[in-house]
Amino acid sequence: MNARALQTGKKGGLLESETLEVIDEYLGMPELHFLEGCNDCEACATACPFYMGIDKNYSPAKMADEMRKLYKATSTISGKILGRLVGASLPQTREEVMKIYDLAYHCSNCGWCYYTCPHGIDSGVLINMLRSVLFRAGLAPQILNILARLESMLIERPADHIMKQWNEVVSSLREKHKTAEPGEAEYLILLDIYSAFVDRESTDLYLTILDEIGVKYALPDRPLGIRPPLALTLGHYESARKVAEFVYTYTLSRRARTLIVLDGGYPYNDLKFAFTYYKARKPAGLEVVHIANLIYDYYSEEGIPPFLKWGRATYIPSCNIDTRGGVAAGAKLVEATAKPYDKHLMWPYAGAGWLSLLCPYVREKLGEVLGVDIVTNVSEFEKTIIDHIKRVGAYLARQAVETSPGRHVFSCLDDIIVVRDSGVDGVNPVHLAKWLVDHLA
Amino acid sequence: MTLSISPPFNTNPGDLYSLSIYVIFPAAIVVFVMGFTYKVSRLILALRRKKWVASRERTGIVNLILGAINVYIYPPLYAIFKNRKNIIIGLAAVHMVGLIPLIFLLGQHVAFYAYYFPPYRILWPLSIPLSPATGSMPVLEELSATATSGQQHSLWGPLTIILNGDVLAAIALAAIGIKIGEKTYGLIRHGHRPSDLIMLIHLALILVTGVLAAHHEYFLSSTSVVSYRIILGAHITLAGLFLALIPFTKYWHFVFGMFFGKFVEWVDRTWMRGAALEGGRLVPVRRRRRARR
Repeated sequence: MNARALQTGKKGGLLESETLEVIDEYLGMPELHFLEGCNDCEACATACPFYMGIDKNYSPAKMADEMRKLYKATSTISGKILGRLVGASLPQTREEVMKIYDLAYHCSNCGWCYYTCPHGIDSGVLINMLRSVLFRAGLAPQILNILARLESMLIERPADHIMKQWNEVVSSLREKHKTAEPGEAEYLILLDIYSAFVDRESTDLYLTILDEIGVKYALPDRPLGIRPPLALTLGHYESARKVAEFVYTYTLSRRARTLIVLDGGYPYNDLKFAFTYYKARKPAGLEVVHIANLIYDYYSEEGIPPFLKWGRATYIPSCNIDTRGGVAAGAKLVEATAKPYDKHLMWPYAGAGWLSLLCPYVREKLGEVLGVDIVTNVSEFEKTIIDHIKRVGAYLARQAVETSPGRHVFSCLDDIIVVRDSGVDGVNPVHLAKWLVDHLA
Repeated sequence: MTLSISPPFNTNPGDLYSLSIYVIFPAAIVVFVMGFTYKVSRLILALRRKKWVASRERTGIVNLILGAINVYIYPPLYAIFKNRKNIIIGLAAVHMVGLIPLIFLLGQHVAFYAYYFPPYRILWPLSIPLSPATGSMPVLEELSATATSGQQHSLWGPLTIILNGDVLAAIALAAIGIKIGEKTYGLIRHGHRPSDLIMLIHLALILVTGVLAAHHEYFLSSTSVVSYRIILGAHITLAGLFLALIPFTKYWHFVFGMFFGKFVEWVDRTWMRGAALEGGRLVPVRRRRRARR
């Protein structure tokens, strides 16, 4: 703990120095508006899967309010003078901190609250800042913390047992697909532990499509992280920055100018857009594209063969691709290839976001590859989150079933996992990669 | 019921009415302007610190325009489907029906604002009367509906039977009452911030004093000019406080916060990320042919 924390900690309350650090380092104009512009109208609430699926206490405004309380108490004149009257307060007890901790990790950062806010407030950004405050105070879910540390170590020097498995997977992918050698292609696939081992099937299928449409791509000769930048899930900005910069540097070192992201989760948004938030330096000449955009752009020029239309389906937007990532290609591709396509006007939600890393299936797979026990070694807090993700999955599944009796196409494995594990009857999830291979190739 | 208020002092320039008109309200305007400057300056200074998301592929002009429309219409549209209570009470009753026409178009208010800012009188034709009685005139007596004292004709005509101060104030008060109930529950049950509740009570007090002043002949001693000046003075004082608090409270949203927030969102979502409708791009980006072998 630094001197400032000791000094202020006596008078104010807990988390004061950590809040000041985060505010000092990461407060920009959008964040200032997010912190001061909330009207507490709760228009965002019904867009939040945790509010709808678990408890009315988990509304985005209320979760982000915890960061506002800390900000007002530490950084505003009115907060210092009027205190709780203007919603400024620092936690005084461990119980109060744990309540904040609970709220901070009931957010998948899907971004729907941002879109439904009449005042343009992105509560997800504030909740992530709150996680950063908590992380600095030593509070983070154990499993995510272990994975973030491992990712940090992995980019430094991958362990031999990981490289052995990695080489096997990459060799088999190279044998099966028309990959170029690293250094010979403009495109490099963002292949990480998650894409190579947890979501191997989708990776395989996407590469098949790339072969089909003739994109010249290379595979990295070492894992580009576990699911980079994983540390961002904890608000550990420094580590996230390090990992992201490694990914960029590696890509350019292989003479590739474009990084293709296959993952339907957070890496696309975090590497393409959000890197400015955690102050990573992305080289100017490097482009990050999502596979769905690449495929869609190809077919928007070439045209999708009409005879391939088959099967009733709907597309379920994924959090970090469709909302924050601005990728509409997944929906457009499914719409073009489904018959009939069940369109939804107001889809409220995406997946479990970062929290899906806590799902048993993902933990099991990652634990096997990385050689760590993240299956049995689960804290009570994490067990609660896992249970809640299941309930959120059930809510998502019910919404999917109401929207369409056909197939429910997701671009993210996380969504499929939480929906599948929810046990709701009638939900029929399929990955976008599988859907496209079945209908386009 | 007659509310009897004993005048604490005579009608002299030092009474609350005079104070509110000549001291409090001008002071509130000064505080508002200073507060506005302060808030906007902070945002501009924060802009220097960093940070928008990085720019993605170019977005077409059509997409940019649709994106700008979308950031504004999506929240209410979404609320119509998913959050009806909020849209009916919050947006419709409190804002669209209640407060906005009352604050900006009530005949007495138009006269008041025009006193300070003469060009405001351009809104006279759109002004609304105080009571439904005016609205009945064009229907029953073939007279024009007037906003105040038969001097200004209202374009709203017979519509003023419902579009008048009394009806709008009743709707706004009912909606604010519900909101106060919700916020009180949130404060007691979940420890939510009390400032929102205080703001709502403040709004309700402005409305109540306004209604009392407007209908002093029923509520106050009809012969007492002093009590009328006190209640009207209280109304203007509370309104002055409202004006002064705008930059520092949630009232900020309808003056600047909402428009600024949506602009920021548009820059972030549409300009930078290229998203338009439901997170998507309407205009496909033509990728380079060199992507293919």
